[in-house]
Amino acid sequence: MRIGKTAIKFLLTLCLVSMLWPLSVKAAGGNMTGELMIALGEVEAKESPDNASQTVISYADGAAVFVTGMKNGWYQVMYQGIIGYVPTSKLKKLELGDLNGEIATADGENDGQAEYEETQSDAANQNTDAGNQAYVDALNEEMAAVEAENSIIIEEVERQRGEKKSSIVWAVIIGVLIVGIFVTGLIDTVKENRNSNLNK
Amino acid sequence: MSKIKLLKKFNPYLIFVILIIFCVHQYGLQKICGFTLYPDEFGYWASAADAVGYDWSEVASMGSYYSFGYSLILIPLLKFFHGGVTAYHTAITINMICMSMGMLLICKLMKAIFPNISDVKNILISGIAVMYPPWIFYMQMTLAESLLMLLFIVITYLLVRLAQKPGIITAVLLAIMFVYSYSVHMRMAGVVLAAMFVLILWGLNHSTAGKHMLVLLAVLVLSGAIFLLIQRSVILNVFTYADEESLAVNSYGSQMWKIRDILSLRGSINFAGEMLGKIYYLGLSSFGLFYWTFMWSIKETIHLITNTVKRKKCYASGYLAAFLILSVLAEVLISSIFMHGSVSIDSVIYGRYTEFMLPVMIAIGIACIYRSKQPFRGILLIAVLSGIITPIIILYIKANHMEGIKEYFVSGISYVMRENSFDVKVSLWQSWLIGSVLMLVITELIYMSKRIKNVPWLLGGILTMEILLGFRICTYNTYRVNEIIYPDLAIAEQIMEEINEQDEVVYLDEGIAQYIDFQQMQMPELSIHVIKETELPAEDTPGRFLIVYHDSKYQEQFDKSYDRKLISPSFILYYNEA
Repeated sequence: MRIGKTAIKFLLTLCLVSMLWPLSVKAAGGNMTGELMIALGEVEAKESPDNASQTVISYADGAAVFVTGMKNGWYQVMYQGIIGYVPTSKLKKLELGDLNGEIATADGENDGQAEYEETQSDAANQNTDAGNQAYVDALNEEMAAVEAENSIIIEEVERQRGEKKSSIVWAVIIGVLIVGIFVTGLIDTVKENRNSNLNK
Repeated sequence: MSKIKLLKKFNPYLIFVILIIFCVHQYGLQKICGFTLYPDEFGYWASAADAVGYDWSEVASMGSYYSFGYSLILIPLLKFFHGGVTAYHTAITINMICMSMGMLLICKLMKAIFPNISDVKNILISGIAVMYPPWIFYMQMTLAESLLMLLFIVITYLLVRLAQKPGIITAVLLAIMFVYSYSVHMRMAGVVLAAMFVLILWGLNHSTAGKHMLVLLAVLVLSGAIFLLIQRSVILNVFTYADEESLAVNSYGSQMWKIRDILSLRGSINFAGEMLGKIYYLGLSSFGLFYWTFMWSIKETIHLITNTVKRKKCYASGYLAAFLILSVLAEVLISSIFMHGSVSIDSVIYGRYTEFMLPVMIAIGIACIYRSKQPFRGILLIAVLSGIITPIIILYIKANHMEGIKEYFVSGISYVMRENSFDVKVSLWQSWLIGSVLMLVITELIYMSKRIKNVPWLLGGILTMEILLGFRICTYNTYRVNEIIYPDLAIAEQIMEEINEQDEVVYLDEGIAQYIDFQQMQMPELSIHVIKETELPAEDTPGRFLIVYHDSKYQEQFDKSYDRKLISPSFILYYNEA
């Protein structure tokens, strides 16, 4: 009977605690996403979700944008501790597949480059070989730079995935340990109550 | 036999709490790769780097002088772990060990002062004390706060032990702790002075205390001299290029103008408001338990003074109480002087400089609630009192036209505060409301575990709540910042891959916050050469590797003059082919 009362009181308190948590989460006013997105064209992040407000961050076309939440239909973005707002239409979701797609586009450019080389060889009388080679080298360098930039984003997306998995595992273990305290406590309570009844 | 019985009772809860501390540390570890607070964290690492033989002086000199005590712990990490991330992770693990040690020491301290509290309750109370949400936050960064919290517990424990069982070793340890804690952070001066005052009182009350006091003084003078020598060397070698103004930021000498202002009428009124704000923070962030301990301390100190006057026996609890009161007063005073005149809102309710005392005060506060016959009346009084202080602080902030807040400086009351949408009135009332609800929930859990027989484990509910609150602070501060800086690692990786022995890494300082600290940490063996805009060569490139900010105004110029470029969220690396 006493344990029953204890359990009810305990559950009520737990409810109170669990009510408090979502309250504070909601009060923060944002569903945190913490994901990387891609700027569609040159994008300006505003001080508040309003076109008339001041520009606080500028992104170049295709730049990686760190999105931290949403507010009034605008993405909340962050750069070096500065928070800004960008219309949702100005950013593209970044998935690993998308990046592969981008690299594929770069490969496509490579095909174009091959075609270019062919055309150029046909018109050998107009251009020198050295000139062609210089152009090809320049294109290769440009592509290598694009690839290097993308590799940072790919690595980051992969790292975030791995880190999320690891955090979930540790959160579950913390939960199990807390439950362990309560279960051990309950067993102790039952034992000690039984002992005191026997003594009586 | 009784020992075995005791161990049987102790072990499961102790193991559970220690394992929880370990898992909390593991939960955040993969989310973290570097500094959350610039340039404070880097300042501690820079002194350690100097001791290892690395030259970080150019980057370090962009910030102000930081005490070297914490750096002594970081030295072996830089020596044995060559990657910046690994060294940083190991430092976080050391913070976790500090927390676990703090928990065990609070257990012993509580047993010494409140012997009637059961072992299970004692373990859970100690767990609650160290799981104070801001400590979870500090555990996951390399500020000295985690160590300071442990040092305060160690000093408190040694003081109580000296009063109960005087011993030469305890006296020596105490003296070393005084100097070491001061070398970790100068604000510990308040704690050291408070402890010295209590020790003098103890010496006067105990005829046999003379030799202990002499030993303590001798060790204090000796270790003090060593401290001064190391400090001089650190300033000369690490902060070589720092200007006088930067070096003075963290020194006592530069506070003189503030003291002069405090002595004026207007200044003293402002100072009173600043002190009130600090006490307000301590009360709300400790779920009201600070006030319980403070009241208990006043009562015990009065007993101590009465017994001293009447030449009766004085107890360790009296010395502990006097030490806590004096420490709180001294630290609030120091913190308020340092923050005096600042226009930032967090300077009024600043918590970081005083909250290292809270774990001990939380543990004692819970014991006080256990002893209280009317805990709810007490907690309601505290909530109402905080409610009265709230509008006074709001008025003070508005009257002084203060603006801007950094949540991580007031982390214990920042559960719903947001820097970008901060409204003084709304945020402070929200903090008060949440603080008051938390006070009620915690008191209810403590009361239930007292009233109902054999259910001390209900205190586990408070532990759960603290972990959730701690993660909340970390998510909005530590984890978010680290999510942004993680991709910046690519810059250091690229340099390390391409660099030759004769190459130089140059950083162009355009006067923006010191994120370059992060890159220096990732390349410990390299010395980054810092140049100002005025030092930019007109035609030639400054070094083979040049790091600039992502939005540097010289981008076009460098795009033309360098062969290769790597962009990360915060930086651009320009370099030439070898």
